[in-house]
Amino acid sequence: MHGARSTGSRWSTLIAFEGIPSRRNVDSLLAEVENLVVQRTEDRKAFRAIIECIQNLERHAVPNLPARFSLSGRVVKGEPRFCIRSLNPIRDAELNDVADWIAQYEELQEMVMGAMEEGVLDWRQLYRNWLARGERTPRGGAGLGWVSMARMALQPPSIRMVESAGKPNLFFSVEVACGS
Amino acid sequence: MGPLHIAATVKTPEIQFLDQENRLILSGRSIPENAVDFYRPVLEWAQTIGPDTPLTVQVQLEYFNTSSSKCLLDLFKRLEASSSLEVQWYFDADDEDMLEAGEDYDHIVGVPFKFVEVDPEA
Repeated sequence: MHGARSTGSRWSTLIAFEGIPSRRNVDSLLAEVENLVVQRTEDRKAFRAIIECIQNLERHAVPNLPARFSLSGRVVKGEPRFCIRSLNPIRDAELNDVADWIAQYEELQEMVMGAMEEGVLDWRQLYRNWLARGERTPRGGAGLGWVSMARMALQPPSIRMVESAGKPNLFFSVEVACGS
Repeated sequence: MGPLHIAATVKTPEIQFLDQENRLILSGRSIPENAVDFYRPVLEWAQTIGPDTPLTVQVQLEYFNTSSSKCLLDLFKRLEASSSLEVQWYFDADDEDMLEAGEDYDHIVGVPFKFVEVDPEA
């Protein structure tokens, strides 16, 4: 891992992690990212999205295969922006579930975008609806991570299945702007 | 209702009940991987609150993950029946996300919320 906050307008890699998504590695990564990213109260927005992304790796990735996480940064109009990306092998037993979930996510994105144009729904309202549902994922997650990230991100997260090293992987990417 | 005190860790908040003030305080950060396990004793404690017991819940969190968000909602819902309950939701100035998070709960549960802005520099 390496890092130094970018001061230019081009993306520069602040942290790149590749390793087993164990509790110890995840905690260490979170601590390092927080030190790097949170320099003002406003920067907590980015760290909140990063927490969800990194904890999803521990919760959903294959435990004994390496996962990747990267954080890039740049400054736009004097405010930091962060690009958060992760790539992790998908558990064999969950391939169909993940494919279904991505399809649902894409449908929901279209629905929300359409509803936003009509002014009847937004990501915040969707988050409230999902929070109020009270359901949980099998491993104790809230199933709210992507909605919460969509709400705080510049664009909804990009989530798709890709092949990497001959195995199906889940690719996740989101861009978060801090400050006004 | 009995005593309640859970010490803070790097990923979990301090939770304590001040019985002389009837005040439940959650402070710090709440980002455990499995929030259900962490909040179980708090939710069990909340079951013991009588509907006529006055109670103030002071939430002063810096971060909470989405796993914790549902546990907080469960806590508020369990206390919702209390006839004299107020949630005091603290947020740092410039932390709009935390203010909005409190407003989301205010929208969902039937409990009066009071929002308290804090100057983090003070």
